[in-house]
Amino acid sequence: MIELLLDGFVNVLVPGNFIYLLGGLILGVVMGAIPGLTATMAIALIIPLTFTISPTQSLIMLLGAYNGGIFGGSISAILLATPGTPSAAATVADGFKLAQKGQAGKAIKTALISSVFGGLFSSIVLILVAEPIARYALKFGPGEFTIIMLFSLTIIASASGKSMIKGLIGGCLGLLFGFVGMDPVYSIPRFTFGNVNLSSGINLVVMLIGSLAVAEILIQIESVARGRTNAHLPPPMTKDDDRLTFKEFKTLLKTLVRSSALGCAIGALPGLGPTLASYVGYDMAKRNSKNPQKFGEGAIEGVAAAEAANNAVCGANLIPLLSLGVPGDTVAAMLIGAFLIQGLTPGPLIFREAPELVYNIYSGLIISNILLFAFVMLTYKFFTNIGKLETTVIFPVVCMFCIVGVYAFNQSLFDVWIMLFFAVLGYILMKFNFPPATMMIGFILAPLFETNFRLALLISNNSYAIFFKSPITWFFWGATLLSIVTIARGKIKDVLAERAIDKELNNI
Amino acid sequence: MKIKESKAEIFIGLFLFIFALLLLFYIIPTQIRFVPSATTSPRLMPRFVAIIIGVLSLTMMFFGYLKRNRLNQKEFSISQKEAKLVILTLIVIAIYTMAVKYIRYIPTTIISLAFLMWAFGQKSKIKLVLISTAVPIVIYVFFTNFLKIRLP
Repeated sequence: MIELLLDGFVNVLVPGNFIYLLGGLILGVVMGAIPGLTATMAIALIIPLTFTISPTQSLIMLLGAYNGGIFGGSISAILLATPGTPSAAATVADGFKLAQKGQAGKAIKTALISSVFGGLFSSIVLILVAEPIARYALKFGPGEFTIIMLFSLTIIASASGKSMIKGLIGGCLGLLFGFVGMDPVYSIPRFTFGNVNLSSGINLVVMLIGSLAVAEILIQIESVARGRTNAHLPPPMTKDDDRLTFKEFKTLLKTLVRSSALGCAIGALPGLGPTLASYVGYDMAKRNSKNPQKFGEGAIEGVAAAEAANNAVCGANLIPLLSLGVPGDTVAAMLIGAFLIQGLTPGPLIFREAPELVYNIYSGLIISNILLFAFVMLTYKFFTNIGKLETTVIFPVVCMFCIVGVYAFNQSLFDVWIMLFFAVLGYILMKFNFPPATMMIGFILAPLFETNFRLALLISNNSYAIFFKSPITWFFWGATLLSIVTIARGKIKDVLAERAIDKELNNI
Repeated sequence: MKIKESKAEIFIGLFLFIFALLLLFYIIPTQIRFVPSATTSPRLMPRFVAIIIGVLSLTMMFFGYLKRNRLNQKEFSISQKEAKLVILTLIVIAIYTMAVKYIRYIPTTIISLAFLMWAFGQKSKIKLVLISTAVPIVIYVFFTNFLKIRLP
């Protein structure tokens, strides 16, 4: 393992590969720092550029963008009180308060060190955990995989946000779109409406760019119509206002470890994602702090907790992706697209088919964190201007990039129409609070679930006993049940809280 | 335009319920061939999902109805100005997709980009001309020369 990892470091540091990692990272930080443009969008824009490059170059570039994008979101959260990415929302509370006190430099450096800490922590967990899980997963048959997919489908409910019904509907729509194309067992067309272009199904990347990137731009365009303002922040008063001292770092250590571990656990569970991680990390730090009243008033602990947790998701997200082929969130779903472009399928077999690539990914992840630290330390003053970029320029340009990116995928204008369809659908879903991520999870899981389910029934002569045969299936039935109970409990709590608010309002 | 959460849920639920019925009784039977001897029919999963959509949409309508008198309801809103800009962007992308085959990539992109920037409120003529010309050229050179992908 160590040898492969060292080889991985050498491979990533070769100038021909390193330049892609650096490029991805810079693009990620820049896009993450621009409010409205997310890490997901950065990846969506990069994927079409990966056709002609090697798998290592492609994946390290995307991971660099992911890492950079998640951190970049904290820059505008701190400077403009506008989270560049949803996962930086928890950073706003304390980060912006620090910036208002003239301590923007301290806040950014705290966010950076915490992000790097979280990223490195989760990379190590990934290296230690992913391969043993994958080795075990090789023993799974279609019956076991069906139950794993069923378990993964319950994640749709937990990724649903406030309304579980909306999340589930989004997931069902995703499943339906996943059925478009040829039937996996009988090879007869389904939902193609006589169009040959649809016979190979809907392309994942096209759908992602449409329903996430372009739909998000459409939502942002509304804010262009409303007009935007920039924040005016005071300069630092003392030297310490612009840096994170070693003494301060020492006091943050406990928070960093706790938040990174939490981020790892959340990232490893499909469907939860960095936004939830940052809130949970923030909440745990507040509960365990000696000065919880300082949270929300400019506590560096708050910034550190949120940032360590959300960046820890980056590495941990790859655990289900690499070991089981299950995407943890939308970014992981996009990474599946990148793997497929290279003719590779993420999952347990990848450790046998392309072990070098897996270790290159591990090394790329570690190096991207170190690079992120060096890059931002050198350039963070420049990034303070990014939030001031004109929306009248940035959104039309990104729109054009999305179109050309989708076209480049198959050199087909039909794909651009599909993108437009998903842009409209994604916009409507976002507008009415349907989380589009659930549609994405449903879309990815649809063929996996259906193929394994039907294969299992074919093998077992239509006997459903195959889904209860082995201890693995029982384990995942238990996990599915536990997941449903946990989600239901959370939702009941939410309903009760809502009712209490209703009662209070009625009393007023 | 403003719409209360409960009303929106009833309307969307109704729309989805009709969609589920359409799926079950028209789209699936016409779009997926019946395989007589199939142990697991190609229609099985789509039907199952259509039924779930139907059930969920009814549940959504029911909850929307229960919520109708609630005071702390969310309101979904979009102003005319916002809607106009969103629709305009979609129309520009649609026209662009139709036109790019005939007018070619660079001129179509220059016109579309400049128009969108102007529609979004960019008043500087220098920026309009410079950015809308430079971006398509850079993209074109990058895709055709570096990625070896032919653009229309």
